[in-house]
Amino acid sequence: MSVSTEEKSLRRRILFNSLDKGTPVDIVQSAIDLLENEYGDQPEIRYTELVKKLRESVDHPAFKSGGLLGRIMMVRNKSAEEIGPDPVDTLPKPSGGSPMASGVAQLTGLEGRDLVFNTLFSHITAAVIQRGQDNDQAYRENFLREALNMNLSQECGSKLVAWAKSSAATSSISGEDAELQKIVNTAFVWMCGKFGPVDADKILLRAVGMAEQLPAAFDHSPRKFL
Amino acid sequence: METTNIEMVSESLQTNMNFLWVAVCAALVFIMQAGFAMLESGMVRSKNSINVIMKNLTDMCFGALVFWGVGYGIMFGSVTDGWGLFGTDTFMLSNGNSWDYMVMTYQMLFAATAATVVSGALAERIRFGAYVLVAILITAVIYPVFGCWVWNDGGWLNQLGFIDFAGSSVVHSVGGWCALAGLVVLGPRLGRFGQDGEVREIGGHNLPLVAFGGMILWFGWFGFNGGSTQEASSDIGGILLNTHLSGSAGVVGFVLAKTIFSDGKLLMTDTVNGGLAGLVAITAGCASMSPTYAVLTGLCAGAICVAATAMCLRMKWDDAVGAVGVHGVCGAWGTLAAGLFLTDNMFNMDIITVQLIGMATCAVWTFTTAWVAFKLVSIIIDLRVSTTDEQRGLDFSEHHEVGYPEFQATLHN
Repeated sequence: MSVSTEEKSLRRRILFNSLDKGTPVDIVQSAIDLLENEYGDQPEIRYTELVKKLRESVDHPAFKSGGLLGRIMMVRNKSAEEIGPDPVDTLPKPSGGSPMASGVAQLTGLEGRDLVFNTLFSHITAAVIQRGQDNDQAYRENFLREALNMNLSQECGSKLVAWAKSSAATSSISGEDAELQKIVNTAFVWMCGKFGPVDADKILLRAVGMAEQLPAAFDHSPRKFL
Repeated sequence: METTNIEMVSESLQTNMNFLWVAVCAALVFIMQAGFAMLESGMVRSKNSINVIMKNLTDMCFGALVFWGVGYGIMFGSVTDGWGLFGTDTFMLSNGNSWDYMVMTYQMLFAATAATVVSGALAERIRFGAYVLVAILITAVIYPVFGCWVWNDGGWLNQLGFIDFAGSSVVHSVGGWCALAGLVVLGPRLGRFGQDGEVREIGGHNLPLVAFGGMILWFGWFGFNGGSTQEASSDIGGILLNTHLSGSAGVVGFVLAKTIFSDGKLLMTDTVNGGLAGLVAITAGCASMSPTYAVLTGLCAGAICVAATAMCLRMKWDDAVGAVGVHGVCGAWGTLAAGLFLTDNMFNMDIITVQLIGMATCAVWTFTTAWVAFKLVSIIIDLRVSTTDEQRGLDFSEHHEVGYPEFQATLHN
């Protein structure tokens, strides 16, 4: 007997809305992952057992005190409508979603700093494409033109060129902080010319906001690439 | 004997009243710096707001020392060259009388006003150090030399009978033309104009601040024009009335021109500039025209401001606050109006010719020397910030702080 999508969502909502509001996003994500992995196929869930497993596997004060189980019971007793949102709708989805629909790259195999930068960059690119499908080609051609003037290392430069030549959304770029800053600045200058400085600011800030939601952004702020 | 005593007391009282009046007016002119700071910082994006205020603060302070050391002597020192070109003494004035000090304080704040006009126009892309150097050159040479020609008794324009009571040309046009030279040398902000010539608006981050700044400037203008009498005299009433009427007419003229001849969009920021245009224009003739003509001067200034701003955009001069139109062009118009509407001698071609010569001289001298100044400074230091700095904002890249840390997100963590 499998667990219905509604029931899975309800379990996630109960756990998510019982956690302290200040709990970091990556800790919340870990708790949700554990819930899905351990109880995704089990028709019955014992919350005392879940809390115990959370304490054992996730090292965070949110699971150490006894308050979590109490809050879970309180939330569980509410009607389905009163329980808060499903974290699937609020937590960041760095590698999920439809890349073709959103224009945001699927960044598989990346982690840490590279993941943060490429998330930032893919959100900038996505915003460019959202403003007109024709922009994508002009945007990439601009990078091809500027790549030689940016004084990048051979490795970073070749990755940038590969990214610019490829329409595949999965290409990633890596390099030193200063190199990645130059790449973002080149994008900014192009966007200023194409969309105007106000829109360029907005695109950049929105992309930073999206990248900041990644758990990895706690250690590698996307703002250092600006 | 008794009459003599009364005369002595009366004279002493008048002297003290003169000091008091000019001191109060100097304080009012100082307050204008706050007005400029608010107006200009409100008109730029939040990531550049601190930079604009820093420029306002530092041009006043550097300018004060430079004007005391050099500028005042050039402007008001004895003219001995026979051509009426520049003064040659009273540098670093330290042995003057109390009145000399009073006048210097007042004039020092005028010099700061001329320099600070430039800061807003070039906002969001000029390097801070480069701006300070240019401001020093303005207060040391560009402003005092033209000021000498007009306000020094031995100045050649003064000898011709040029009328500029409180500085439509000397202060405002000089500031405006310096700003124009800077705009030409520096170029527009990134993306301000599209490839097809499209103008992209870059809205200010705090428009209420712009309005308050405009009102504070207006308040300070009573000291700017009123104090130029240099005495507590009965002329003050007419001067203050003309000042207020012209400022008000500037707003009305702007609204009418914008509605009738332009797109009808009555932006608050532009309306504030309309008022300032009226104030700038009346500065030359506030003591020498009737209130009716002060209104006419202001009305025309408001309309001219609309046209001048449009002209600047057409020429792709990216003036972040509209300083060229308000101070440069309307200062020139006010100078002409002072000749056109001179009480008891209106439309006298001789006077008008002198005014035209003065206007043209101001434009040519100021633009040329300011252009050279910007070029000279560019040899020492890059005039323009990098595109990365423009992206990050000058608050952080030039001053390592931000105006609104809770909201600004363009800063490194």
